[in-house]
Amino acid sequence: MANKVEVKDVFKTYKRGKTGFHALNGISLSIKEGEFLAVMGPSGSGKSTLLHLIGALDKPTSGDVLIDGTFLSSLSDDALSQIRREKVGFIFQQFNLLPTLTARENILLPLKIAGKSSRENEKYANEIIEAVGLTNFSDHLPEEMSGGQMQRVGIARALAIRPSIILADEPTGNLDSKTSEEILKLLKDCQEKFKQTIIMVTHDAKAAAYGDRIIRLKDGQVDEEVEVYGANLISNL
Amino acid sequence: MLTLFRTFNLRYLAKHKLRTATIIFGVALGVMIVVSIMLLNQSILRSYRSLVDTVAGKATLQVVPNTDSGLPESIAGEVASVKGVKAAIPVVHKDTFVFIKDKQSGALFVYGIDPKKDVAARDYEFAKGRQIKPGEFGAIVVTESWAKEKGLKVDNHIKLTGVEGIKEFRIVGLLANKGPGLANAGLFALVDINTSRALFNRGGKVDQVDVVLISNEKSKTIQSHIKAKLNGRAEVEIPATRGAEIQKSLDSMAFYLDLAAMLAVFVGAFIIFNNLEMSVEERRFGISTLRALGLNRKKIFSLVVTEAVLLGIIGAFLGVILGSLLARAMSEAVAGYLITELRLKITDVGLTTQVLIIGLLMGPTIAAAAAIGPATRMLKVAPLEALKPFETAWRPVGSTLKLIASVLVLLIGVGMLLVLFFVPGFTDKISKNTPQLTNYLLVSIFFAFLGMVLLMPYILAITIKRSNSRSFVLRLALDNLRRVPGRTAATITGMMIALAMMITIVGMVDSWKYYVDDVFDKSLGWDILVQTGFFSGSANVPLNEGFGKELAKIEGVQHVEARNFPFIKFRGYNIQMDIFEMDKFFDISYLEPKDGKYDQMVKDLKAGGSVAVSAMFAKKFGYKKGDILKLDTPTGKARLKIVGVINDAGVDNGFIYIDRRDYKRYWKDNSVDAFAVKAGKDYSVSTVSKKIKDRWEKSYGIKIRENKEFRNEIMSMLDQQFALTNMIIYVAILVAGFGIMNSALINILQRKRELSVIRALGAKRRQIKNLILSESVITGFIGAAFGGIIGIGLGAIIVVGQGMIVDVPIKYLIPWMAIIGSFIIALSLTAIGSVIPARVALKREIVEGISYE
Amino acid sequence: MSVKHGLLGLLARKPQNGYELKNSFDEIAGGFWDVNFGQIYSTIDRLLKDGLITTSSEGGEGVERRVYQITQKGIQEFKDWLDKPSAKVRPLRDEVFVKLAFMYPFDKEAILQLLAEQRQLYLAKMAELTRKKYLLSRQSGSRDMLMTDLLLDAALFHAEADVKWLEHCEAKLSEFESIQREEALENDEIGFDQYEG
Repeated sequence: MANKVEVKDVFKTYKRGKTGFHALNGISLSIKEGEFLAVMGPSGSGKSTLLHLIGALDKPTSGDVLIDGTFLSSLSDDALSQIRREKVGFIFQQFNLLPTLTARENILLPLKIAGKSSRENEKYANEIIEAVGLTNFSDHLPEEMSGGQMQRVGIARALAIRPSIILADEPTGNLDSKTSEEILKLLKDCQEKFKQTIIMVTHDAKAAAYGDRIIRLKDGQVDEEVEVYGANLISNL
Repeated sequence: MLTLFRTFNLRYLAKHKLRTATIIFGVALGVMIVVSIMLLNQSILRSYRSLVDTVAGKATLQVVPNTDSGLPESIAGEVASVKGVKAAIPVVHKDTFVFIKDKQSGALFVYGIDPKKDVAARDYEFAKGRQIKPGEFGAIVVTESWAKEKGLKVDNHIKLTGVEGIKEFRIVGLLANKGPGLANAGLFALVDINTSRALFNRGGKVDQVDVVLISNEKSKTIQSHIKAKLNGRAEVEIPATRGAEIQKSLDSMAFYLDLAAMLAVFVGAFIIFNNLEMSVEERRFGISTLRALGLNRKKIFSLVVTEAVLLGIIGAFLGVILGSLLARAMSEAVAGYLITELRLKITDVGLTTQVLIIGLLMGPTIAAAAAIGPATRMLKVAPLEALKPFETAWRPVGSTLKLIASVLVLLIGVGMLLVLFFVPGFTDKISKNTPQLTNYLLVSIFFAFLGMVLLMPYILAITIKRSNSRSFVLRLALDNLRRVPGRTAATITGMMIALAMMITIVGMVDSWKYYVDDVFDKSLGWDILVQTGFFSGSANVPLNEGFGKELAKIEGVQHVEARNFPFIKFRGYNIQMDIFEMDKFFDISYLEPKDGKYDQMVKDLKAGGSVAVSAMFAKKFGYKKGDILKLDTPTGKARLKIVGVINDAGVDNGFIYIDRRDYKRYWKDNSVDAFAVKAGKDYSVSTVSKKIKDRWEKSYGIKIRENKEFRNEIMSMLDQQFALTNMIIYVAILVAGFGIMNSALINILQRKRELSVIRALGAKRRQIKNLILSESVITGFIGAAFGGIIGIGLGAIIVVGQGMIVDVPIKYLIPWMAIIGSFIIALSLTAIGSVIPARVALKREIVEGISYE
Repeated sequence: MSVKHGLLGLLARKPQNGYELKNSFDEIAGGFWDVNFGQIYSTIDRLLKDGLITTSSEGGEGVERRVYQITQKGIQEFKDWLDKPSAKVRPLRDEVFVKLAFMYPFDKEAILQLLAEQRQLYLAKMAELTRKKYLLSRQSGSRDMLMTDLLLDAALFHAEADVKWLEHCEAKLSEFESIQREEALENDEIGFDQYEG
């Protein structure tokens, strides 16, 4: 089985005044399709940067990122936009909802951006809204919702486009433990039921424990790797 | 407190150099234009005063005719005999054209004096050469400064235009740069009085008698004595009040300049407000932290306002300096108009203390005023409120109280305008005093605009609704505009006011031009107008009747008729008289009587002893057909019956149409201002013109104007009046466009996160560009739409109102071209203006926006 | 002590024999709390002695077959225990800590290696527990399922705390090590070459 995502010897350097700051230092990584990867590490270890690069939100200083065998560096900006629209669903730690749109409108936004707001897609979006438990809040504005609800909107938004890769950046960072659990369960469902590939950055060990593989970054490289046995749980039953 | 100021204010200002510079620029803009206009106005006034004062010399009173026709010589003797008069000095004077080496080289105000008598009134000091001798024909004294400018010396020759053609003079002396040498900014010359009589057709006449009083006598008493003696045959004035005609032109020019200044202040204030609001908003977090640390509301408020004042002072300095430079540039632009039309030369647009102080005070005041809004809003910031991880969707538009206040302000402005134009009694009372009228207009326009600015957020909130558009670009664009009602309103209003002014003025000028052209079409009648200057007044040197006889001899000339256009002082106003040879006039021309009884009117006018008056004149002074019009003339009171009230192109106070025979009888003036010529049916007008030109251009310096040419010149005069204002309006439009771009930039900066998120969700660069473009263009469109509506409304009110005041059937023409043009301008400016913000938005890496800061 | 009260709780529901008690324990404790028969029987003896439980039969068929019942005193004891919150903090009898105490400062490399491996082990364990949790959640909930879930959470939380503590140790030990070396350098106790090591 070919790798869903490949990260090959990637460096990412930021210029801070005169000195450069190496967020990623020659990191290499392979992620299989349908895998749930958790990425941990201290702050400044490059976790979020890695996620941004995989999500085509940023370009590496050197090295390559591949999705489904395609080099991201070979793609035009429009093609990259397409990947963001169709292949990758990004869940932000800061929710990043548009304040003037209702929950439903926020969830449907990526579809609108893609120009794909058909009946069928809207129906699917409604299913997602139900799945995240937001049916009663779908017409609320972000300022009328709690942190947990907003994060759920963020997740629903990422799922609405039926992406093959879900990238989650500290999805439980702002949430209490009970809500965190619900959300992590939802993500696990995505992996188990829909075979989506999930890459989650977290500093929370309990969240990371939902992954099949937990890697730890340090100084911009993979420092440790923990494999959890028995990849597909359902089939193991 | 100083430390606080340093960290909170100064550090921010230093970091955001562009924002700081923009605020300073806004202040500088307003101050610059106001300063330059004030300096310009002041220097024009000063030059005008110099014309009057320096020439008057020691004379406390001046006896002048109430027309340009001159007074009989004997009047000097009569005045001298009045008790208390030390000396009565006769003067014959005229503005005339100068030719140096056979090329026309401007004009001079020529004073014909009796050098022996004149010393009683003026002290002459000579830099070179000598005074003219009595009876010395062909000798002329000019000013040192003028001679230097033209490269002339004593014994050089110059030529002047006179009634009998161009005559040559030898320079015998140069006046030093003081006293009369400074009159009219150096455009001043002396000739012998009899020379000037011959030159300007004032045989046996004087244009003015300067009166010097015995030192202890009260001038007011003597003035009334002289008046009594003359019994209306002439006016007795204090020198400073002369030249009302010039005053009027200057006043109207000053009005438009002031209007432009007000516009500049608005625009400047709007730039300041825009940026100040943003800079305060960006420091919201800092403010909430300060509040949490215990800083009270008053301190926060004063911090913000102090910063604004500081920037205001810097901007004011800059504005004063730039304003002085701009004044110089503007005076160059206006100089041409002033010299040709008013014989006025501007000097010295240097900075005066008064203007300096006003400028320096203006800057911080406007800045502080603009800062009140943002500072007040900051008072509502709760401690630590800015720690919310998300933004609220909508900012409240404003309280009901503010809404009511805004509506009131607008109503005051509009109400004042309506009252001015449509309440007749009030109109007459106020228009008597031009400065008062000007100030009233300015105040009303100020209120109207201010009201619109304040109301705009509310109007926007109503008009921009939540869009259910399929296009997310449109939906987000509208949402974003709604979210910051204050800022959106300010930018729209900027564009709106600038465009409204443009449309108003175009509508006004176009309507009047159309009407005047229509009237000319009917009433002018001639093919060619022959004169030495242009039209009337001080710009023209008259010809004599004999010239007309010569004209008639030219082949192809079918009809020649003499016309004069002198001004008369009537009840304190300057009224223009049209002197026509009534038995010839109606062969080619036409006057439209209000009651339509044309034939009877013509018959009555031809009979003599009668006049026709403009409808405006009749309305203003309360006359109707059949009344007797009493006019003061040098020979006594003339009693003329009004046989027709005319719909004409008269502005201000209208015309009085008098037959030439009556004019010659009462005013004893047989000079001719212009000859109206019609070519025969089989002759081309251009051939006839050429013949006339070839014959007399060199010797008389005459100017030929064909009908079309004349009308175009009048039209361009109308345009020129607004030239300066138009220039400033174009600047205002540009600045408004800049304001929209600035606003778009601010919006982008404020929505970093949002835009990055949209990109992260897969929006293409083009879609982001479209989003920013849409916001700008929508703003421009709304601005243009409102600007159009207001421009049409204001223009209509003014034109219809003016029509009612002057009682002419003028129609308001909607200036469609200007309206379409304004849409194009608005949309293009905003589209172009969205390029930079778009670039800034896209330049930023997506991650920068979504990362936690 | 919890074994004692756990048995009381089980017997409060219904009388059971030793074998049944072990099974019930395993079921509730979710399989990660190993209690052997030895502990159970020694606890049963203590309970009998204290009069908190009784047994119906005496000897005979075999120890495993003996059925135990809770007494009134036992019920009261259990209720009191149930209502009272625990005052003690968990005792630090962590094996790791003991190893730490003896290993350091002799072999820094080894200690850091140990900490890292321990941490990874815990993580792996946490992942396993989380799987169990997830599978449990897919089945419809009952009261027992909720209890099991909470117990799983308890283990997870504690494991998380251990993981955090281990990371913390690693950080502090590294820092201390380098400060020590710096001081040694200053005091001329070691040369630069030794510092770099």
